[in-house]
Amino acid sequence: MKRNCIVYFIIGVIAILSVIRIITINSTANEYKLRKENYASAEQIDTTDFTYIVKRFRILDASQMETEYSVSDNNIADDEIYYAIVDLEYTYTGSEAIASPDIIEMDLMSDTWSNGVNMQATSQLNKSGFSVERDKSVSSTIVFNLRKDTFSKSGWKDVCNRGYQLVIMKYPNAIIIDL
Amino acid sequence: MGKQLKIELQRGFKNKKFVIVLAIEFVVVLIHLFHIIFPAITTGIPFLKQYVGTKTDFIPGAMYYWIGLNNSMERTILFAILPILGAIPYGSSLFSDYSSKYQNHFMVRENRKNYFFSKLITMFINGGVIGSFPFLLSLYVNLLLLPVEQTLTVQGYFSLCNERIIFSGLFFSHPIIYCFIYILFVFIGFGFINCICYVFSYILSNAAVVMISAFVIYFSSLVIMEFIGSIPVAWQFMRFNQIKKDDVVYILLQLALMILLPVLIAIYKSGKRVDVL
Repeated sequence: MKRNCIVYFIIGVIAILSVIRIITINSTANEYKLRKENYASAEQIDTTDFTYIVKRFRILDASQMETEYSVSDNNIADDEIYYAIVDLEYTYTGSEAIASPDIIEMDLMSDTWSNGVNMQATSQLNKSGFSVERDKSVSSTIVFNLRKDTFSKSGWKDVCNRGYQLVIMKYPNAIIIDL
Repeated sequence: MGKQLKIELQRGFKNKKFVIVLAIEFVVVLIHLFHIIFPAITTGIPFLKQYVGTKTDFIPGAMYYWIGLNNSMERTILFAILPILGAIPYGSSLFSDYSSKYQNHFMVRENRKNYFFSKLITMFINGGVIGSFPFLLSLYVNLLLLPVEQTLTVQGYFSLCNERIIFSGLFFSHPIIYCFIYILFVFIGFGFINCICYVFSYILSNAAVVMISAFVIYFSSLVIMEFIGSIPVAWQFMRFNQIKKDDVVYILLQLALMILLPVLIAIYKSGKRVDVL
């Protein structure tokens, strides 16, 4: 009986010390925390060097994409892909004479689904590049693939109607624009 | 039932083999700690912290290095050996009782049903505890050493950044709850896998072979499935973070089969009238 009490006491002390340690280590670790900044579509977003505004967001099927932008993908069947098109206007506010936003770092997100920029199609649609002079604005069209094999069955059925978010920066501040 | 179950649980848990098995798992978690976590704490994480705001996408924390999610050598070893480890303390107990006529001592004193079901329940709990212990231990160690990181889907967090994976949304909103669901699944899964020994206790004629029967089924199903189809088998789906929503039905069917066969044998054996003396 006495031995059991000692064992329970030791377990209790270890548990309390563990909880204190876990709370302490988590309350002081700012680098591990994500500061999410959510913005609405068409809202101006100011970052260190650029300001961004999403002008338009559309989802096109393969035939619409080919008609409108002459972009197609021969490696995938037409009914297994949609394209998310984001028209993004950005203004350079930094100190250099000319700069480009980090387009390749942008992502499209929808709940637990996400995908990076389709750089091939995006480059094709923005032949003049992404460079912008100081205090000048440029509009670019950014393309993301919505492939059937990356969605769940129920997710794919709802692919055109679900909510999407554009992630401009991931860390330490996550800048997320609801599209 | 309670009295018989208590006896069987004591036989399953209060023995040297059980302690040795836990010690082996402890060593695997310790290797993971020295191989992966300590180098990360001393070198990897400080290096990444230098580039916060420029090139670093996230600082890996307790979840990233948890043995259930981290694709390390130790995780692979653990998932490979757990069916064998689970069967060592109690997997061949029914066979030993049966072949040595030791079960007759219980038969004359207790209800047959109590005996067979106590055996089955203990086999399940024993396998489950052995299966989930290293994951629980690794989670505890990680939480003591590293903070829980907040992440987004876009940060490329293993296979979980995929909406086809079950509970991936829960991981990003409540990572600790996700880990406990993972551990619960491992407990149930390896508990059921351990119950395969129950079936083979009446088919095979050697205690050691009965003990490895769960592993043989666990591994051979992978080899066979490699040839005939793409349905995930236990070797694959025990890694909870890789289970696809579309495969859940197949997985539940396999788990149901694993437990249904021993339950049917227990029912059959309970009802069979045999002169034990």
